[in-house]
Amino acid sequence: MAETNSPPESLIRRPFRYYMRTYPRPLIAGMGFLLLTNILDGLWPLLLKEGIDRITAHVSMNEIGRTALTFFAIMGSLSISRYGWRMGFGRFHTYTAEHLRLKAFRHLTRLTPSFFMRKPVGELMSLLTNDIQTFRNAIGSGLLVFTDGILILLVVVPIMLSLNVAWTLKALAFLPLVPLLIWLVMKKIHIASKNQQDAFARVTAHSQESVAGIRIVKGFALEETRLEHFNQESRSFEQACNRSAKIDSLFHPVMEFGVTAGTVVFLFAAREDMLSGAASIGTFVAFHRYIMKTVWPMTALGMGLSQLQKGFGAFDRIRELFRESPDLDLGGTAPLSHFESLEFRRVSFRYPGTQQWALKDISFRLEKGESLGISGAVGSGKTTLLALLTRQFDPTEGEILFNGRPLRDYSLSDLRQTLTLVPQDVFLFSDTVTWNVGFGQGEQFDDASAEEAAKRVDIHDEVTKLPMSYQSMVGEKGVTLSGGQKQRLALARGVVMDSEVLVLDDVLSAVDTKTERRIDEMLRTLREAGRTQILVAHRLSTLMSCDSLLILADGKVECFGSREDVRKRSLFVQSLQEIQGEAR
Amino acid sequence: MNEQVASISPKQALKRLSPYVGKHPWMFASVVFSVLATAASSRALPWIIGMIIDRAILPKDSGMFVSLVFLYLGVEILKTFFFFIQSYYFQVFGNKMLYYIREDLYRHVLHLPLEFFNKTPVGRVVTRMTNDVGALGELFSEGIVAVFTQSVILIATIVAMSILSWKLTLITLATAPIYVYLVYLLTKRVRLLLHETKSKLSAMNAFLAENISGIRITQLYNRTEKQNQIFDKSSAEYRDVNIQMLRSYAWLQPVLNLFNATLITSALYAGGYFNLEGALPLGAMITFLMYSQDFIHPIRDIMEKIQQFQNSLTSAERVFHLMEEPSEQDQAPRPLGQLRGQIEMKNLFFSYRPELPPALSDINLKIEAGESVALVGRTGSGKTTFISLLQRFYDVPPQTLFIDGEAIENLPRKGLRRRLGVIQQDPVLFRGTLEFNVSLGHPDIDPTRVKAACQRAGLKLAPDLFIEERGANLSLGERQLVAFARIFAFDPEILILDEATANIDSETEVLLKKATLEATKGRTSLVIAHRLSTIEHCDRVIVLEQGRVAEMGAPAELLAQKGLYAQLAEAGVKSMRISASADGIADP
Repeated sequence: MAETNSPPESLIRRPFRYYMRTYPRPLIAGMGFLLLTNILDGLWPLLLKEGIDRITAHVSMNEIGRTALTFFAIMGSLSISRYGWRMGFGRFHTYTAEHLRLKAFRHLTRLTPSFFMRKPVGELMSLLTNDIQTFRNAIGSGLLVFTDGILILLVVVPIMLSLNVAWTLKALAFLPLVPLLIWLVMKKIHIASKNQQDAFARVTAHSQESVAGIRIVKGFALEETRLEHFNQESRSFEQACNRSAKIDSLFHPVMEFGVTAGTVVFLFAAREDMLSGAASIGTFVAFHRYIMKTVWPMTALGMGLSQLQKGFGAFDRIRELFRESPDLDLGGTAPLSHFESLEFRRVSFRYPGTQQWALKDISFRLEKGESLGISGAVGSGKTTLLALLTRQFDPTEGEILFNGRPLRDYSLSDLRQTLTLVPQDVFLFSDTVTWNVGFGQGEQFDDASAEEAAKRVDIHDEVTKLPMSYQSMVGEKGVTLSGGQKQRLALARGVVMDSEVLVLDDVLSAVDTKTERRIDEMLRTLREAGRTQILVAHRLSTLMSCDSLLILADGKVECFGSREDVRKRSLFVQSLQEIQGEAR
Repeated sequence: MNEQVASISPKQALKRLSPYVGKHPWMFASVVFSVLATAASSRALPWIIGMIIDRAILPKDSGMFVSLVFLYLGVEILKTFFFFIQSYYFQVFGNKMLYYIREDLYRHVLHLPLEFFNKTPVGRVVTRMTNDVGALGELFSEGIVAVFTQSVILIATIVAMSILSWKLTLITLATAPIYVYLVYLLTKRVRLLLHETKSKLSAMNAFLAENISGIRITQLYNRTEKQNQIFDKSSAEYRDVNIQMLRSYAWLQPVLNLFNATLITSALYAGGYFNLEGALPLGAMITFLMYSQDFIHPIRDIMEKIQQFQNSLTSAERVFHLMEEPSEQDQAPRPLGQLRGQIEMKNLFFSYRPELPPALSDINLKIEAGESVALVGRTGSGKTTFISLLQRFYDVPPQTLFIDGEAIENLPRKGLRRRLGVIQQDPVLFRGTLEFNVSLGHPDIDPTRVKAACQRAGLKLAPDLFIEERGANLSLGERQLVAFARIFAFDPEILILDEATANIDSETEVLLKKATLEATKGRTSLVIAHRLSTIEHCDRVIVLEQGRVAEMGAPAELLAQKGLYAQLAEAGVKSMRISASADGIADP
């Protein structure tokens, strides 16, 4: 589907109208068949009346047979029309949901890190799954039920009036109350089920904690205390379920209230007419049937309204997502073919929504082919600096110049082609080793290419020991890898990008010393081949292999210069030396 | 995707559930009574309408008319009442049952051996205890209960019809088996498609969850468009199976409609005939017509529920399966008094499974009470195994491991573990106050003891501080201090400390060092050490290499020997840490 990424304004404003125009055929077919169904369905008690009246009049079996046949024909046609409306509405809401889901996901993938910092994954998931499903329910069953209710009333009430005006007015007196009651009950059901879900979530959270912390539970012999605690949560879940059950059990009686009351009133009202013979028994039976038929429309109005209301509530949240836009200027078009230089010019940065400076007044410069080592205490701003460099955020003050031009002059994809970041927190996708290593590559990336990369980061031997070698699944559902192994796979994924600037954010923290030395060697070879590198590291040996060093402290530059220079001047480096000894 | 078919039958599942049903027999009985009463009173209503025609309208008896209408009203009220009782108390009953099942399951899970948790992902165990138990509840409430109540309705209807005229009943229901079979086929197809829809949906959701979490990588590596295309495909697959399912559902309509048409038409025609023959009064015939309408819903419901059984049964099976996992074997629980804390291993060999190479081989050593020992070695050298054996998480060959001279297999697991304190690399914290996290809910540990323990650990947080899931609002250093406070509160004789490898800010580092010194005082302590400075404070170092003791001795002695320890220490000088490991207490 090659479409523009941003959702059209007409969808955001009036989703229902938008989808009526986008998928008119199934909707019109559905509505048409629904109308037909209701007319046919409204007619058959009249035929029943005919049948009964004929039987009462003691006509011949032939005539009864004819009535029965007509009756069967009408009921038979209902088969077709009922199939028709189900498919029409079904297609309509299924296609609508898919369209909306794709739009929402595509929109999401355009948004910038500051958005994802604000929104937890769980919330976005709920938006893309539950909210879209709720909207689908509204536009599908909510709309259907509501329309159905109205159509049935439009057919049934006139027929009832034609049978007997007085009976109708009396019997239907209670009905208008029903939708209101249903609507109220639905609201209560909604609240109760929300409470139930919350209680369930607490039960789940408790089990999760116990199972994940089983070593502590067992280690401190806490089995009994945990069970007691669990039982409390479990009990409150049980009670929440019971409250739901009570309201749920009220639904049916409420739904039938109008009809029950209507029937009794009708029976009294019909007494005179029936005893005097003013109305036939057929009419009596048919009318009773019609009263029964009003159970559903009254319920349907209440239910439909409630579903529609929920659906539009859900769409409000989707709309909010659509209104989000990337907070970076993405219009950069300057050509970018080679890296020449990088300069931070008095760059300061605050994370959106915070008051504190994460980086303050950072200036440094790096030329093609040089390597820069960055170090500093935890929280000194190293990772933030790399986030600005890869343009996940724009600086609050100052300017980052790439080849002498501000970063925003380039398109994001060009910039990220030239500059590859391997972030500190490793994320692998649930797919094969090869797929993950070739994540930034084209389709032709095969096991052989992955093997080559794996050898460079010293993980080939370990990969071949996995059950399916390079075709082994990794990620959440795959084989379990150690922290060091994951780091090296992520590094391989970055190294194969073969970009001019390689940026590594402390990617060897969980790798053992020997392996680290071999990887350092590989990085050195890359540098000798003219690649520019920016390495965040804690080990002196790594830092001391860089041309220049940038030491950060509390978001400020503690020291910047050539490695010898920094070694002499930086207090931080001196303290590292004290702990780690002279680097050899 | 292949459908999982449960290998237990509904009957077996019922049998497993019956002890829970038996816990509240009076409630069960009254609910069953309500079901019967609801079905009977519902059948009575059309009967009264028929009587109004035959006994009041036709003979023109006004008094009778009024009494019958009042009877109608009374039966309606009764019906509503019984319906409510049936619906509400069946659910209450089911919820009670689930509570007991959850309790049993949870207790059982906590007593499973650690091996089980090593091979089973956390998420799966949690799903068994929550969602699968819920599905088991559905098996009961949606399945068994619904099939039971609908069957009662069906039987009540047939009985009522037969009382009116058994001949007419036979004629009317002549074609029913064909329709029932068709409904069965369609509902079966719906079930299969429903299963497929679910699996497509969960695949799509898994993709979504992963891609939202990993969106930064996708964007940094310019892969957005490709991932979008994968999503398009997944979404389209989901849509298509949805449409297929809708179609099968929609096909049910014509079938049910024709069934209904056949029922009522034959009742009308044959009923008319019987009436003309004088065999069936008019009102009775009309009652019969009304009954013939009561078939469709129960039959459809029963068919659908029987299909859903299949899905719930797989969940039920998983729950029962988990309940059958063998739990840790233990001696009769007896309180274990204070230990001295002497540990001895004689000729100890251990492997996790017989086919695996030994994780520890030929260990012979003795750790005296009060001694502090550093365990050093590369990843996979057996440090973690060493400690797990002390906690009796796994069983060693008899007479190879002794605590205070007594073979460990003769010591009760729980009692032993209470005398052994563990500080993990990344300590587990529970959601709750700090106080709760130190006392771990243990009744013997009162707030004053918690306070004192926090003080000794150098923890400056308020005892009523609320700790988020997994201690998310504390730093790693603080979490470690909480773990130290636990030790001071529980005061075990043996301490096991797995030092953190990650970077900790220098201020906390000082606190941790102090706490370590304080905690090892007067206790036998085993430290998986990563910092040279920690090792220096230990009496002895045990160097493990491939499951064997490679070297053992005082730290200074070993350095002078220039063996494996000296090598590791030298590498550590450069990297601030000894031993090339970054793993916590985690089994292979």
